[in-house]
Amino acid sequence: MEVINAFGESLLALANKFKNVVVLNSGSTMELGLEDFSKLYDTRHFNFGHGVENMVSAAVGFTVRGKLPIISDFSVYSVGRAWEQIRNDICCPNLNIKILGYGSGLSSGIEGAGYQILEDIALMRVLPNMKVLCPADHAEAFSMMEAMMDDYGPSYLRISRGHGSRVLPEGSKFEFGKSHVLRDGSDICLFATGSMVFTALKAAELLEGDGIDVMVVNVSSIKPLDKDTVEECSRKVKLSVTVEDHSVIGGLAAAIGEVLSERNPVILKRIGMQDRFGESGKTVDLYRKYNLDVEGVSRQLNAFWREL
Amino acid sequence: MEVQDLEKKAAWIRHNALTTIQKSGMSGTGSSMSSVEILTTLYYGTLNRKPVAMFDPAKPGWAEQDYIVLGKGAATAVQYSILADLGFFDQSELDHYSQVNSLLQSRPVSKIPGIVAPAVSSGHTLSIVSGIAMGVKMDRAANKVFAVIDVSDLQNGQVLEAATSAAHYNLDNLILFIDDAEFQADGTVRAVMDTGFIQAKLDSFGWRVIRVPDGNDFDDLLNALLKTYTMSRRPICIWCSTVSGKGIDFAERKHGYFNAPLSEPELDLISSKLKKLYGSD
Repeated sequence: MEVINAFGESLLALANKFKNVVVLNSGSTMELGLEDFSKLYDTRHFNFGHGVENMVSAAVGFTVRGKLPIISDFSVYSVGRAWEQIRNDICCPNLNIKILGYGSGLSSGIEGAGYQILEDIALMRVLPNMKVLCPADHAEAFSMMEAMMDDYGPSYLRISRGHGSRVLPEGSKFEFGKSHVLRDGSDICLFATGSMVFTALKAAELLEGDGIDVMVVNVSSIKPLDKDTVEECSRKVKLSVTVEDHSVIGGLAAAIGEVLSERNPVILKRIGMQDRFGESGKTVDLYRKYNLDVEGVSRQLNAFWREL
Repeated sequence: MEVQDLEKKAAWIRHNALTTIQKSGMSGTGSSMSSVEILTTLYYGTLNRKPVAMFDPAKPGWAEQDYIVLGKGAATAVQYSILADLGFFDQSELDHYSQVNSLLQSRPVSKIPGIVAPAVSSGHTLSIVSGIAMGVKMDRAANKVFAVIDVSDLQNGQVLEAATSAAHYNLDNLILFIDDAEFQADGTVRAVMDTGFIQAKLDSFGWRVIRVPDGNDFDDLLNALLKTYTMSRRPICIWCSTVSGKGIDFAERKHGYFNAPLSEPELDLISSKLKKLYGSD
């Protein structure tokens, strides 16, 4: 079950509870799985064609009439192109508007570098009032949608293409500012987010064979960040590492690094895109090329461990 | 309010806005003065003995409230002077315009009483008011949405996106005033980035455009608004030719005053003239 399906499904489930929800998108109804919502609630769905900036600012007008707008598009547009609109129109006045960004990072594979935004966590994390969420699987994305709607204020939900495996234990519930240890370990603590949580767990299994004991932490609430858990986990191990389908600048690595530098200054290694753009190709091939597949991540962890 | 009273009110607003701008150290004398009659008409004007726009400082969010959004940042002091006069906040707040810890930020933000939507970025306003108008239509309500932007705002690509979607969604509850004083900070609009013939442009987008040859004349503005009463199914643009620095004889149509504050002697000079117009000692 692809993670993005949780978006349309949760909207259908919540449409009656939140009768003021309006869904805005810019020419991506099919890709975002909004057809059912659009058919059932046609007066609450607005397509803005390719006018992304217009869509984001128009959301402000809907809040004036007491609506709860959900903005949705490919992340490179919803948060890349419309960043100033999000900053000045939504975050400055702290309006209750939710933003979905789909297809971030190398998950946008064959669409190429133009779609593969590797900077969106950084762009959203830096904005006051904005919250940043990145689900590990379909169930967590659904739970996040519920939490976002119950919450007041702007939030950004970052959903990758594909990555359908169930990762979190049955019944897990998302909470803002809470991170969970999915696998205990005493050598390396691997902080992972989004599609990389699955990869991190598999890499940890591989490293067992080399006698390296890896803890895996799901950091799905990137902002607000569970600073206590980050600190505690880093104190239990000999090396801390982050892994994300994002630039190693400004994203998860930066968020974790900021906490550690204040509370437990240790060496932090960063796995992700090393200050470069992607290219077109199948996502699986790109993850292999840029060492973000299970083998690539475990190879890097192994090397970091041997350097110690 | 009758036209004669509107003219007096406009003089009073000019005086307050110029004083507010001058005290704050902000600029924009010429660009704010061109909008005075448009904003005065919206907030104080009457047609068929009914207010042009419905609002009540004592009832924010009132079901029958119409929406007025000023997207032209340079005219913010004009709007604040009006809101203070109408009792949305105390007149003394104008003394602190755009100063640290002040209520009245340099550009309108939602926390200010009487401001219905933030208007901090050039070019976003038509999108924001379109969102309000779409929300009103969703609710099958009759509230009107008025916006005022500067002609140079049309240089923003986003305004063209918003013009497209407002026509697509048949936002006939939306009335957009374009204040066209032909100037922008760097020179004449025609020289910097010609926005062309607005009538034909917006017509082709599916709007109805009403041309107001003198956007600083209350009769012209009220007549244009009266015409909107018989129009339906399309968003309406009232394209107003205005005069930069209107009401300050030495600054009218002078680009040097467009983006500058008045000096103290200049303010004193014009203050006494304006006071005579609105009848203060």
